[in-house]
Amino acid sequence: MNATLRFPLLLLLLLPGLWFTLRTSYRWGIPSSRPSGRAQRWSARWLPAVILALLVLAAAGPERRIPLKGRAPVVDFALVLDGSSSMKALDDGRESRWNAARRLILRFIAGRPNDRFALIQFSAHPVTLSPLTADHARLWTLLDHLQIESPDDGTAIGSALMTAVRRLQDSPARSRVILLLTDGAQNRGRVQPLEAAQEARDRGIKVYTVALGNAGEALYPLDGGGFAWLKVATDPDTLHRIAQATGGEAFLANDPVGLARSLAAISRLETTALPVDQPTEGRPMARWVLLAAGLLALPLALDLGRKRGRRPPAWLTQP
Amino acid sequence: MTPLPFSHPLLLWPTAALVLLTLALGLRAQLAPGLGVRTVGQRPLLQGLGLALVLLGAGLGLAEPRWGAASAPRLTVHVVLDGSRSMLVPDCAGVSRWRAATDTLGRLWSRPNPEVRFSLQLLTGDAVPVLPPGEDQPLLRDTLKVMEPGAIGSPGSAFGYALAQAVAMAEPRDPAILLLLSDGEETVQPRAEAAQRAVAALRAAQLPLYAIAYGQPVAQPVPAPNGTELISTAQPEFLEDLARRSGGRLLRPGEDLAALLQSLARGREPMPLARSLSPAHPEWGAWLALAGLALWLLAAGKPMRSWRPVLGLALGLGLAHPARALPLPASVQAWAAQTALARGNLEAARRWRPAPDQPSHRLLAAQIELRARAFQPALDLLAPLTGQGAPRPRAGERAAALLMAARALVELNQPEAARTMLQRLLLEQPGQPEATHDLQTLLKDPLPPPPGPQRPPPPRPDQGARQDELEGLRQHLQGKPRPLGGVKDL
Repeated sequence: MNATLRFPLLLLLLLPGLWFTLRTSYRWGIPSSRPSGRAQRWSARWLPAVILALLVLAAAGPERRIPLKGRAPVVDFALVLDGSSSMKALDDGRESRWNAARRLILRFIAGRPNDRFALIQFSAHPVTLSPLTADHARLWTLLDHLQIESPDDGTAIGSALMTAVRRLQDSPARSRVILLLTDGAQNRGRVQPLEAAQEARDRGIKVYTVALGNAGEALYPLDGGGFAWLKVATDPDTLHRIAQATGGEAFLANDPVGLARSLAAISRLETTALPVDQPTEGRPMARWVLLAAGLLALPLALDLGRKRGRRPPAWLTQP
Repeated sequence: MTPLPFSHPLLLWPTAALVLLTLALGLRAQLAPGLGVRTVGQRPLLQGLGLALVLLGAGLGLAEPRWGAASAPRLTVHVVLDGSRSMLVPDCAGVSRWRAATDTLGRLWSRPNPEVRFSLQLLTGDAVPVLPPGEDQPLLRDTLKVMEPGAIGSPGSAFGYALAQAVAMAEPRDPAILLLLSDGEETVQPRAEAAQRAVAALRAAQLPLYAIAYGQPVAQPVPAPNGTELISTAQPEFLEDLARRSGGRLLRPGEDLAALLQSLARGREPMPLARSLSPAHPEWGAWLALAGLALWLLAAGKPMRSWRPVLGLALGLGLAHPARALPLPASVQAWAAQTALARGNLEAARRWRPAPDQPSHRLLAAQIELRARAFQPALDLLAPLTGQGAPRPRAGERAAALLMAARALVELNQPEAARTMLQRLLLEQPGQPEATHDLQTLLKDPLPPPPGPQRPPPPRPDQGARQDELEGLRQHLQGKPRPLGGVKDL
């Protein structure tokens, strides 16, 4: 939290104000020639001074500056997630690639609270599920409920990459990054992966690729129940060339642990030491100070009720 | 929406009661003051007036009066597009209601809408979320192309249920509105019941509804693929009622939607307080209370008679114009502006901006303008430091001025002029790392043309990707569950 004052020079009023206040010898009720008690003297001297100090502080406009998320993004990510049916495979025998990828992406997003993310799911066709957003809570909900939808199964890596490029091309962020997670080789789509990589490179967008799964056979759940060992064609070489062409890095993740390591490495690579001017918005903090000043002023106000003199005796007023 | 521009208007009532009580006590004491009161020079009426001002100021400040333009303009527009089959009726100047609505959105999303985010939902028998909030307008335009009325979601139009669902997707205190494009024909619930449900949800979320009505309020046949005969009657007055009761309004046909959204984003149009961007000013209450305290002190005894005029003048100056009007040296103003800028308080930085008499103050003023995205004023300020004439400013100031001017020119979409600035800097001060970096990164050089005869360019990969994405989007939207329900389309 960054606290500041809207009108800091008003604090200069404090010195002459306190001087004036402390020189004022207030007397509670109807002053008399008898010496008043210690508490009365002390409160009559210091209460107005405290009220004045509180009011001057409130008048200077204390506020806390809240950074506005997503207004000056440092890194904009497009997360491109393979949603083909092969992602149901269980590499470690416990968790499917799909669930591991979603879980670890959630962790990746949580580790980068100031960045924006777009989410693209693809199988035979890419779908933008979320444009670039700094609203991570919404993104988490979306990822949490995301399912493999493959009415038309396949792997269109090129089209998905190109879609990610289109999502990022107008971004004003300092760094624009595509994070591609796939376990297959291109077998659908109108765009070749290297064509898309070239477009990304021309627009200054980096691509990190993560090849999921083993090169050999993997355990797949069957629709009717049970499991089967199946082999899926993978193409780590193309993924490596995509990353190389755009200045990114290619990672191999044989299991969820490997994927976690890859994402952590990407997170480390995409850091910046340069300062960022995050726009902020002021939220006033004067209310508590004003409340205290108002409450302290109440005894002074009620003391006015004790200033009225007694009615003089009849023998004094009558002739 | 409250008629008073206060964050907590209810606090004004106890404040008024306390103020009246204090005035009454002061007046009562003034009518028959005690002997000692007169002896020590206390004047109860003035004391009462002063304390009433203190309490009034504290109460006003606690209620937080709000006015002024937003310091960080922004708005989220939750677009709710009627996707029921009745939108196919061609009664909008020869085109269907759906076509007219999508054309309106297409026009809106073809213009720049800075600081405005859009989400898209379809209104059918329930709300179908299509896209979460974002600034990606090409994506929104593409999404419109793959949607067709009656194909997605539940049959019919349930305003009560669907608007309540749409409201639930809005962030609680985000500056946001709901933009509804519809024919206003409710088919699932009685209209009064639907309106009640929708308005209750909108009011609870303090989300104003702005609506655009399509279609004529006369019975029209709905084009149906299977030959069934359906009749639809547009109900613009229903939409008007919903919009008015939620704090929004029915927009006129042809009204400049983009301008309206900009006004809302910048706080020029009123918004419900929970979502308003108008800044709160509790310090005004404190200033009033300070004046009251000064009055009370003057009437509380007889201290410092000789000092009173001077202190009164100083206090008056401070209250009338909070410190800005004081004749401060430019260096102090520059320090205050620099401090505010370092803290990210752009509003204060602009307030303290020093007069550009010295080069360093001119640079600071230009930096503030740049941060405020006022690029042309920044360029105007920098002009004396970036020109070719003599005398030249010092090297450090010259370099900073040229770099800032280059940045402003890039933002103003003048890359050639920006390149000239950076090249000038590199010529004068070779090896300037920041200029080299900016030249390499800010200005993206086009690739050199390939040698040999020019051939027509092949189809760009993004066209193929766009077709693939549209197909994917179509499959994705049609994959949404389509539960039974509704009345009209069954």
